[in-house]
Amino acid sequence: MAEDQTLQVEELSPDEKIIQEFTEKKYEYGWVTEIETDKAPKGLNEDIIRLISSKKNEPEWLLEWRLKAFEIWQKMEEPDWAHVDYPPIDYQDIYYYAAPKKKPQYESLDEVDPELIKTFEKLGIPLQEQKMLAGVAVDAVIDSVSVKTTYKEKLAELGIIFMSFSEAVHEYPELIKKYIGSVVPRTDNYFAALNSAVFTDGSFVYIPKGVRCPMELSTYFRINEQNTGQFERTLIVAEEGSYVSYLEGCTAPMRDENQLHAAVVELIAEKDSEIKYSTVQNWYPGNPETGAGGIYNFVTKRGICRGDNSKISWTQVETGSAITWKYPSVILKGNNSEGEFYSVAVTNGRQQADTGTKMVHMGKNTKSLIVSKGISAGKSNNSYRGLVKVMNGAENARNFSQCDSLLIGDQCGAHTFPYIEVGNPTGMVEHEATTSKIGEDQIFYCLQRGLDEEKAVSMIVNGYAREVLNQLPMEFAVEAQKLLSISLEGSVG
Amino acid sequence: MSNSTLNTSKEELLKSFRKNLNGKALVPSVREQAQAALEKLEIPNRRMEDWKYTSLESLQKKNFVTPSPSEISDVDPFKIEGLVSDVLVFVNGVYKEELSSLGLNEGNLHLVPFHHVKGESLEVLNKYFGKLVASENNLFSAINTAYADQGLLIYVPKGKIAEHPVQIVHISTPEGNDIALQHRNLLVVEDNASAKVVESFYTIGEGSTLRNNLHEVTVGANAQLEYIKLQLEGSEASQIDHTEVHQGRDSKASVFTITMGGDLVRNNLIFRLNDQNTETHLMGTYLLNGRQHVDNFTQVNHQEPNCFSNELYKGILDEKSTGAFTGRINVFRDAQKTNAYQSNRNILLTKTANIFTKPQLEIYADDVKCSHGATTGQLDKEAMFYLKARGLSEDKARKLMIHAFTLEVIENISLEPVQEYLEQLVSDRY
Repeated sequence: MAEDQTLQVEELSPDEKIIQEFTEKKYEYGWVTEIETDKAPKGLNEDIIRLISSKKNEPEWLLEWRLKAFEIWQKMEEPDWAHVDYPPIDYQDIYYYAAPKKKPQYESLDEVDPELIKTFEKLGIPLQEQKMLAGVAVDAVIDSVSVKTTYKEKLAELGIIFMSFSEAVHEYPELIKKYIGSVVPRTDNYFAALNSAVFTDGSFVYIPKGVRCPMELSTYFRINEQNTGQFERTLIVAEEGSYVSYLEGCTAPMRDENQLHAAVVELIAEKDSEIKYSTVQNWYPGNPETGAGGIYNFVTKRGICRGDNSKISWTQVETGSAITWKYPSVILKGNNSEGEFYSVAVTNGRQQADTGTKMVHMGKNTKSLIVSKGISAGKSNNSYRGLVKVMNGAENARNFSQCDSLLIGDQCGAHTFPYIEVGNPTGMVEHEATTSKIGEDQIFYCLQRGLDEEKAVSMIVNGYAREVLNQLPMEFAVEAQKLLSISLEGSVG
Repeated sequence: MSNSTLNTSKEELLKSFRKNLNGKALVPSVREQAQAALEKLEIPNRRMEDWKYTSLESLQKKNFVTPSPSEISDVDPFKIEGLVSDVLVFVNGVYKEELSSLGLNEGNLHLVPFHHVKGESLEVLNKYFGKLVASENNLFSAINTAYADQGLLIYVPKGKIAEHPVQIVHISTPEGNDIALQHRNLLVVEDNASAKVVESFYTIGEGSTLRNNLHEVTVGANAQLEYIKLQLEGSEASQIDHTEVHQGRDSKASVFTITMGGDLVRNNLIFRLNDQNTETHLMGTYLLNGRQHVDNFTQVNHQEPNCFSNELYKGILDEKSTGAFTGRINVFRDAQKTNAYQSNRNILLTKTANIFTKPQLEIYADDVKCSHGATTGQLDKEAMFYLKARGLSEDKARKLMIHAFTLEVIENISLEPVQEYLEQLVSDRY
């Protein structure tokens, strides 16, 4: 079927191609890669955790750490405050471990499983030579175990560590031990505790003092095994005066059973350093009519600006997942530190998103900026939930938040739940939110100039989200724009 | 706090309010329902989302007694100067006929304390009592419905215009004790009718007062209502106020909540726009100092198309005071062409003051214009500089700025004497 479609598309003019995408594309990346996997039985208990730990040859302290997290998790209750609605999750009906069976030990690309290369090609991951020219180092994760890391040597020259989490546990145990759970403690929330107990892999990035990472670091996550929960853990440490830009992009195969994804991302920015973290998330949103089969995305992302003058910037384009529960946050501890949050969240069909950020101002002269653009279509619900907190000692803290919602169609919902807590008179906090539909005059203008309605909407939405898309690195921005159009398919008329 | 201690404190709380009840209750069926609902409800606590920023623990430590009958001979200081109005005075929750003066709106507006209802007013009471505020999910409303024996029916029949405002003055005299009082207004403005009501709260002397007030307000089709609440109690007074307003087609309603007094104040203000083309204004200002804690919880439910609502709450927080604001705009699926605006602006004057604000939009219709804004900061430095450059002292400039800041709310009150009265209070404060 995919081939037929390609042929058709080629015959069409570029204008028509977009219409084609709008009307025919369901879920672009809906296929399953056939790679044998090594799976642990379903369910969650101490034995599974011990198994995960032993499969990965983990040191004793990490196993203890996981078991403690499990103990904490068992005492916690699943949160229900988010504006989302889903059937109860059976945590015993999930596979907590799956690893590709043939773990390639490659010297060159030829040794990599050809199926895998095909996967990467479909995803557009620049693993091969021509893609190397794009200057992107890739740490590709297929089903929880990292299979390939490129550019490792080049990065190593600069002293940059960029590897899978499990490798880092062996190679840099002191660093992992020092930083794991330091920003998102195991006790933080239900899903963070769960992740801490069963996380399988993820990425570790360490930028030494004074180093500016010369390329965008990127990881493509892919949930690959049926009924496999994906529990990634990412840790990025930027030492004094360093800079790193990290990209995370996700697509997942179409499937019937709901998949739970509970990742944890921790960022640590020391004095004068900067971390830029960009995400394009396009997991399977579920059946547009029934909502069945979509991914549950319960992510805890948090960064701490530990040193003075440090900066953390989150950019996210969220178009996928049936349920999104995600609040990338920044703790502004160092004086003059800065936090930014740029977000575009699109929901269509039966999707539900509850997403936003937390900016906690602790240091003096700290600044934060929040730009959130929500777009709801179909029968979806899209909520912004955010906290801006100015602590008592945060002299001259400054925050500006802009949360806009756009409604397409009369069956969707757009909601805004900001929390503003100010305990210092010199703090200046401003929040603005608007909700409206796409202006009829704007559509009319586009129609007059010969665009059809779908395309007009796509253009207006892209313009509306521009402020955020502009924050993405180039290659990502292009992909993100396309994603926005695809996600809104069939929402007009 | 464990469950058992919570239950005991709830029992204590109920007991303090029950003491006032002297048997003969109006609308017994509604009261019985409320009493039944009390069983299941718990005292609001900070684990509840709607009470996240307000703790009632301090109330639970008090030992409330029945207020002693108090004699006040002069209530003139509590009347708003220059306001020609019907005046009703309640002392420690009890209506004082000898201190009140009625009759200006003869025939157009009926003012009947609950104890005096009979005939037509009893019919009106039976028709509207307990209809707007449900007892099932709010402990304090349920307590009021179950046990409040004092109250006032304010009734404007169809097509009648009450030319003069109504002034309701509440005075408490705790005389060194802790007293618990309940009051209830049943405000009914029928189709094509109009009324203005000013209600103010004061304390005389030492001791603490806990007030649990409930106001059911019905505004009929094409009717108009302006309702102004002045919370000017002493520093040991607590108040839980629950007001629910239902509006009919083409109606206009404004509610002003001005809070300057009281130690712990919680105001729930709920609007339901039941029909099309209504206009709603929610205006509030809170000027706090000492350890005052004021929580304004507001909700506007746009249930029908073409309605307009505008909300503006402004606060000045001095010393160790705390302010909380929740503004929720709900736009229902059918409420197309809704225009809803909301703004909450705060100024913190000291490092020890705190503000928590939660402006919320929940929208299910697409053809709407909704916005909210919230700001928190200090007095504009540039404006201060401007004023000082023109020869004003720091203190004077500050006064002027605060005055101007609050004026934006106060100037919307249509009754000039009330405006002037409030401006004077603001000037006296700063």
